[in-house]
Amino acid sequence: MTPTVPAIQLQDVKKRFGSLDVLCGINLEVDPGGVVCVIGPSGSGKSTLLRCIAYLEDDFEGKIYLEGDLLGRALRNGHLERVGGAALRKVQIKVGMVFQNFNLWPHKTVLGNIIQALILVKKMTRTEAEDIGDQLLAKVGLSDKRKEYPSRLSGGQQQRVAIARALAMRPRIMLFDEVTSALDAELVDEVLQVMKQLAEEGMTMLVVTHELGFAARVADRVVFMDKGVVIEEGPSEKVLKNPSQLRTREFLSLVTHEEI
Amino acid sequence: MYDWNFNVIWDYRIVYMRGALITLELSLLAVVFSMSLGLFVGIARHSKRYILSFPASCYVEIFRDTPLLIQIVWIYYCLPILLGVTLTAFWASTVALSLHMSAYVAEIFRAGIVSVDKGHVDAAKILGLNYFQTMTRIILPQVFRRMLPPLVNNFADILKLSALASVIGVYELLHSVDNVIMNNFRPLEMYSVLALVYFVLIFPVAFGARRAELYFARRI
Repeated sequence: MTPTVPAIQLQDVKKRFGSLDVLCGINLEVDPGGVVCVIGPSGSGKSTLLRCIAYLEDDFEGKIYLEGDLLGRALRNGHLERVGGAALRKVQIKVGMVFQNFNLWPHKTVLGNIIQALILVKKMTRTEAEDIGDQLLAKVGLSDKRKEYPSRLSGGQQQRVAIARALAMRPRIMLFDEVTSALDAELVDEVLQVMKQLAEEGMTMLVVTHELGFAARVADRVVFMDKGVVIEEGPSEKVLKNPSQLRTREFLSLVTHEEI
Repeated sequence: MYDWNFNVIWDYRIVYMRGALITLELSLLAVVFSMSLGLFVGIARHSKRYILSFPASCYVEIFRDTPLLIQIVWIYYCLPILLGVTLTAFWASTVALSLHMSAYVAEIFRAGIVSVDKGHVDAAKILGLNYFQTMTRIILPQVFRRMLPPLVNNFADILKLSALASVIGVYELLHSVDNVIMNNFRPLEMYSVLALVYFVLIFPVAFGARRAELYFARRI
């Protein structure tokens, strides 16, 4: 039996901003089709972790493998060297990312946001790209908004467009960075619903979230991070209901407003 | 009491019109050149690469921190001696005005690029857009909308500053009128009307800038 190659594998990933250590040696694996939620207090390095995997932060130490391919680095004579260009793109393109603030381009319509990269990067014709765009808009339930500008949509709708935009590039792995934190409470569900559907379709997902209910229902595994370190990792049921570490317990009781 | 006589002005209407034409020609060329050059200098100044940003910063400071009058004179009189390049008075002032204003345009573009939400760039990056695509499709379209009002103001400045070309004998508005005054000895009438002509040229531009500002304030 051949062992399955993890979709995401981090080996001793470290990242510092100036004198501040944000990630202090992260080791993490996500199986293909797995859904992993990363929880932890703000400033614990969760977002930075995702940004490294998306290669938005390129200046990290350690190794990140995506489906077995080294991201942004190559081993030459036993030394890790940075690579860019096509070698980087080949690996980076496996990842799609959705942000807390949607980051839709305000001067483009909903459809324009989705098809831009298909036309520029995948060199599709406008018609081909619009077909894909329309399919994805139907999937996130926004077909009637295709010609609207983002500023005319609610936060929940904007975030669903952002998810459709990321999916258009057919990523193998989706990263979600606190995608419901900027939303009004009543808009959170429509976004989580789309994410749940994606998970059921077998997408590999790494989700930074404060939605513990979502983590309990959808995630296979939960990672608790604090101060740049993975404190605890395990099946979501175990970590959320019966954590083995004191700091995990303290954090969970704080966010669920229980007494310690 | 001074005896105003505006009747003489009518005889010189062709002088004003020719002068205005040269002023507009000079200014429009300077707008086109300074916009193009300023765009590149602004992008270079914003670059993380020192080899691009340092020369761009030097360029901006040199042209912003020295008087335009001296730049005009320098290009007209010194360039032929140093480089053997001789420019006509018209082109010397066009070049000087373009270089001078491009420093300001560069700063407007740089400020505009900085003001674009970094998240928009992150989104472009992760979708695989390269630097050029991100700049032309994502950043600059947003920058242009926001930069239109200051750029139009810049155009108004260029129209006013073009009067400096008179010192090296370009027959734009001011120099044309000066020439006439030496014959008719009616400086008060001639200069008053000259000011009015500048106003008629510049007011629509300034008005347009204000309208553009309101229009885009409502849209973004």
